[in-house]
Amino acid sequence: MNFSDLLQFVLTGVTNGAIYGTIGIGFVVIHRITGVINFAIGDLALVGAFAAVVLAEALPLWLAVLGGIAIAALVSMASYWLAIRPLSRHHLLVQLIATLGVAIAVRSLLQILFGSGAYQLPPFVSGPPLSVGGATISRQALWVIALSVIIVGLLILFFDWTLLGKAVTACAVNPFAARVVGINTGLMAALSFALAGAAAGTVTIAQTPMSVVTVLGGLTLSLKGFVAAILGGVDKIGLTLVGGIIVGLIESATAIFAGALYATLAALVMMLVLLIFRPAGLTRLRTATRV
Amino acid sequence: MKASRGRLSIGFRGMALGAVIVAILLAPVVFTSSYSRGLLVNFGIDALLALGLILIVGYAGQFSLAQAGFAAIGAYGSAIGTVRLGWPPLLAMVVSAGLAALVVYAMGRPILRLRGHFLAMATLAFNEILFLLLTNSSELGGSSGFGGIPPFSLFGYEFADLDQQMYLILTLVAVGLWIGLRIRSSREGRALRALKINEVVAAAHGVNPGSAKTKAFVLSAVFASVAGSVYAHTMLYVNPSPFNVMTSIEILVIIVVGGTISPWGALVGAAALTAIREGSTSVIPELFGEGAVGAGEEFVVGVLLVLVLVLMPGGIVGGYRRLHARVAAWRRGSAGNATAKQSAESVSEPTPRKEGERPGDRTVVSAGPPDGSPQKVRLEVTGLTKRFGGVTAVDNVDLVLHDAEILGVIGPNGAGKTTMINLLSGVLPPTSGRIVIDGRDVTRTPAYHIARMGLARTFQTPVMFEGMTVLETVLVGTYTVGHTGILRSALPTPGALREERRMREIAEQALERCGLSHLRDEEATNLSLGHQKVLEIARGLASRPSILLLDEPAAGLNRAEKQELSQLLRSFRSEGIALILVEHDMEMVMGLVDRVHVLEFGKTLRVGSPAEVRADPEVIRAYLGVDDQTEEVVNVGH
Repeated sequence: MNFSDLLQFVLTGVTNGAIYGTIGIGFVVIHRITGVINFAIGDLALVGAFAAVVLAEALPLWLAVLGGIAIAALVSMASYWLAIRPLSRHHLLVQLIATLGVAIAVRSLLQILFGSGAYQLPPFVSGPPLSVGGATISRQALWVIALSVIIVGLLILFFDWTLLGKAVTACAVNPFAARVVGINTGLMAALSFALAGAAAGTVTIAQTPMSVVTVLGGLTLSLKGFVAAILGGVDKIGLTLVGGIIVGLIESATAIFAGALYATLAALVMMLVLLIFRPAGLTRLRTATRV
Repeated sequence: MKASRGRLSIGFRGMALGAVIVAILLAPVVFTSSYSRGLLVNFGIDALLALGLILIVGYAGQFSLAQAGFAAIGAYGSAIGTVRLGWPPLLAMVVSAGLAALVVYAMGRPILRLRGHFLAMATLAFNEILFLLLTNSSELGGSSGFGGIPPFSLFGYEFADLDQQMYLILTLVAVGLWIGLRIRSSREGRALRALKINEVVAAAHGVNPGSAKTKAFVLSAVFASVAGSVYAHTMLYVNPSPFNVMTSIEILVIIVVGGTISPWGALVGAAALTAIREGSTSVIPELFGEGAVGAGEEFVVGVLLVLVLVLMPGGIVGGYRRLHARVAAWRRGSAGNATAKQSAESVSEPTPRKEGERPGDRTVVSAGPPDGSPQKVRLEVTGLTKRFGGVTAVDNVDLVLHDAEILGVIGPNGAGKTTMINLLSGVLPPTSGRIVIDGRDVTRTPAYHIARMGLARTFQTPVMFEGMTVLETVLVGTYTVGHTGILRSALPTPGALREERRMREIAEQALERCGLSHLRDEEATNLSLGHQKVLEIARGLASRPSILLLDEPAAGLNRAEKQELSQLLRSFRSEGIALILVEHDMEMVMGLVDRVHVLEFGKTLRVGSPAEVRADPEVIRAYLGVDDQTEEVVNVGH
């Protein structure tokens, strides 16, 4: 393998990894605030992509993209109010099952509406792929990578530097004390679902012009995003993006050495291996806490 | 009367099981068309998978989303075994089930130590991995699979036509139901249900949480593998698509809809889902067109899952039980004032006693702990220290406890008394120091191990196991008395039955001694705080301990109840049990204990007889917060 092949493999891995990482951030944001693992995140991200596809029929592309992001956030928030909030007094695992129900309902509804065909968006900016040291990268891929980095920056800024962000974090650290000082924990949890939906929706919309979007991709997206989230300790936003990129690179390597069929398999095996041997991922958190 | 009610419920269970057997026998009469018989076969496979899932979800409180994956191991195992290797079907089935068990053990052992959602994700990933491998394997026919599987046969008898297959599957369902019901009310089943509510408390009664959950997980996978094998022998053909993740999720939906607390939920839920599938295949094409059948059915399943969780958390079986309890309560209410009055009394008085019975009489029904001579050292602690970050909760404490002795541990709030109990019982590991029980070093030994060595404890805030009666709660305490494992409890061998009888005797004796016999069939969480405190002691006593640690057992009791408690503790002492009593009520402590150990800020302040400690100026200062100026006032007060 020469240098340009190697570079090509890295570029592809990083692009895919940025998507997985941002989906993983969706898991992290919700888990940090509510303790819930939201199985539906991949499917909610697809809601955003399909909404953008529909809106792009009638609106300018940039408005359709923004609309798609807003719809992903709204549907994610709605799923919280309808399915998770009523179960807030129950065991977390009960809420986990409810998110599975949301995932199935959302996916099958998309399938009823759109069938199982492939859909696409036009690229955000037109132009030939850029050439870097013999390898190529599409302009859209640069959008995906840039957006994922911007999302990480905005979320870190939000959680560490704004009062609202601190209120949300307070709910995560001690819900009872947060309520005592007058923070509406329900609202904060809903906000976390909205943020997660928006983040996951954004990258999924951004990758639609590069490949295609089908209604059945949600579960795989969730699973790969969760591998990234494990690497981030299901807690750290920046490390989760790094984790996503690691997943993307491992997938690329598998595709080269074993064939594309085994790429998804590699990510899933990685999840099992991590859970068995290194559940804290790249962090030093203690994860062996009792439920 | 109470005993007869117990027998009645066993009778009811027997009747219900009998009804199932009759239903199986009548099935061919009712289900005459081959289509409906096919439905019944599908129902049976679903029910079998769901029965397995209830063991891990309903009993152990963990989520597995790989039930279809484990079924795939059974189905492909049976297919490969019979077609490629020429094995008899039974051998192929057993080998596949063993393989599934092995896989689950390897995966469950490490992951079951983690938080619950990790197992859910890991099993989901496992199912997807298996599905992708099977789909990509040209050796096994890829996505179209391969056929030529013979019908199931047992010692030469072949289950060839649909009728015979129906019998085979329904019989397996009945056996699965039987095993599920047996396990629920067995030693390991109670342990699982206890640790689902609170792992720390279950471990303090001798249950090893990781191992217990892994056993349930393994057994649930074996159920799934057997179901998969039978499925392969029914279809005579295997392909990957029935074993995808969606099937695993549907099995979860079955038990959520049916109810996870009882194996009956698996049958009810499987029947409900079969009906929903049939309903949606007839309704959806009219609404959305033919193409939407699969998606429409999934949509119904997804929405149903959320709706049932929100509106009917116990599923159909849970809803039925609540209704049943309400009707029973209503009947009791209308039966007259006598019973109502009796139950009202029982709530206010924790330890009622029969007329003319004296406290001393109770030692006659002794639970029989080992004979201890007052001189023998049972527990010895040296240099025990526990730090939480910068705070030293227990600081270099030495302590000796003899048989047939009550050691009072007192001290102001925050002196480290509860931490001390947690260290001695293995709930917390010490930072440094040594704990020796019966001459064996048990420092940093896990709580379940220490419990098995004869140490029992109570908790400051009583922990009741939701969904268990008072008798069942005490039976959890007898865990260390028995040996029957999860498999043997499913088979009514004479040894297992004898052991269960013995555990019941011990539990009932413990209840009798603590004066709770009249509440044995009440739900433990409905008891008053006073009753729950005493029930904790009964649960500890049921393990026939040689050491009993009591963490503020008298808090919240009234004067009369405290006196009864003192009597009870004296009777324990006279049987040789070594007791540690952490208590704030000085009157009770001083009147009861042999020696007093005073802690202050985690350090030992004084150890001595009640009289010595009472007279010690240091203790008075620490305890009453007396400084030089007010000391005289206190003396005047005395």
